[in-house]
Amino acid sequence: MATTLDVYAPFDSGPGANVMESTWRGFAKYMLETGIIRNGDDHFRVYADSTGMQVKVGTGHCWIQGHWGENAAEKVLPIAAADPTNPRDDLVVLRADFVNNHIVLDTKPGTPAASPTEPSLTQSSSMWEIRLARVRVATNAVTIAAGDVTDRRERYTSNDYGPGALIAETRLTASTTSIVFDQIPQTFRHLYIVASVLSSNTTANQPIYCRFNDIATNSYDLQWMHSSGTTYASGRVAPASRVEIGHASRNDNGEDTNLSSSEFLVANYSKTQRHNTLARSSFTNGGASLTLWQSAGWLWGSSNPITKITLTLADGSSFKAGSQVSLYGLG
Amino acid sequence: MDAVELNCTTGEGCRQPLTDVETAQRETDIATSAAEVQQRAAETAAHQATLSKVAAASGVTVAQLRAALGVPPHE
Repeated sequence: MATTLDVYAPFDSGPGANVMESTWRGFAKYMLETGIIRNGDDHFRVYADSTGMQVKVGTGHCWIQGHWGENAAEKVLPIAAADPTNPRDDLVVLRADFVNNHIVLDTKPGTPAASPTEPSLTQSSSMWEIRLARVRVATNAVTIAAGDVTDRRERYTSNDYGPGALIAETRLTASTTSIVFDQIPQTFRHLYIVASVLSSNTTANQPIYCRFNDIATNSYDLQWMHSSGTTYASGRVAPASRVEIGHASRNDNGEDTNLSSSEFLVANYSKTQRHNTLARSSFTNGGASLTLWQSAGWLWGSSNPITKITLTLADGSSFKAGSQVSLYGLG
Repeated sequence: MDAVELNCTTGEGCRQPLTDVETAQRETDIATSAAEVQQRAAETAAHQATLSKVAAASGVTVAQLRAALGVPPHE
């Protein structure tokens, strides 16, 4: 015997035809995850330009618990007067207010303190907030400068880009020594790199060195295992001055038919934490058979969010034309 | 020597010559990489030498010693 669900909608008649706001929210929130919709506009970018106690918020579309909103033109938000004794961290938020029936941009003043913390978000049946930026309001500040604003947009909705989005990609038409991904948006949960590359070196396969934020000090730690033919080996490099995202295949007489295959995951890259990363790669020696497969775990002993990634080859050789490296944002 | 730089916010890309700092880092990396390769080779050779000595003292081949100990090929 069929048994109806407790709630279902929308339908032409019957209980499912009585769709009120709460019912709409009940199912529409599953259409798209809450967040900023990626569509080529300014994605609610918050900035300041030393024009007084205010910040500016760029254009954008959002989807919050099934409610859609658009900021069609830049808005100016006032910042509350500074504390005379201590600094303060305010939050700029997008708020869907289910009681007052609107979506607003707003600032949430923090509590002045020697080491201030930003206020928490409200996410309840009455309202749902998502953060856009943190604003440091210095003691006795009379204006907000660009450096006082920290981007806190945590994620975009999937939209038609799917759960992951291609952030940037290069397919080389000429050799280069270094590949740099700069100004990485801090709006995804994780980063994922796929590298399919060939070294200009003809004598050895080369690790692809990777550095975060131009840091090349001995602040990295590696543990690895690889198999080559029927043998395998493991080891550790610590301290190290880099991570390795994979390997390049050896140059095989000018052809690019033996590109390596490497993947590299950087979880929670925008968080202030020590960064654990994972790399896997396989590659050839220029022949038709697989030479080596390696898996490695890395630690970067810094708690800075990752904004820049620089790739080079260990022996100083070049990434050959035809090499391709793609940077994806996940979640 | 140059770098392909991709601005992930604006989507713009360009080629830039390596800076002096980047060139110096490249030289350091080359030396570091070579030293690590050499060190791993030395460790592997030392391991093999130890196995050979033990096998010889036991009057068996290295393969027989591995089989008797149940030691995988890499150890």
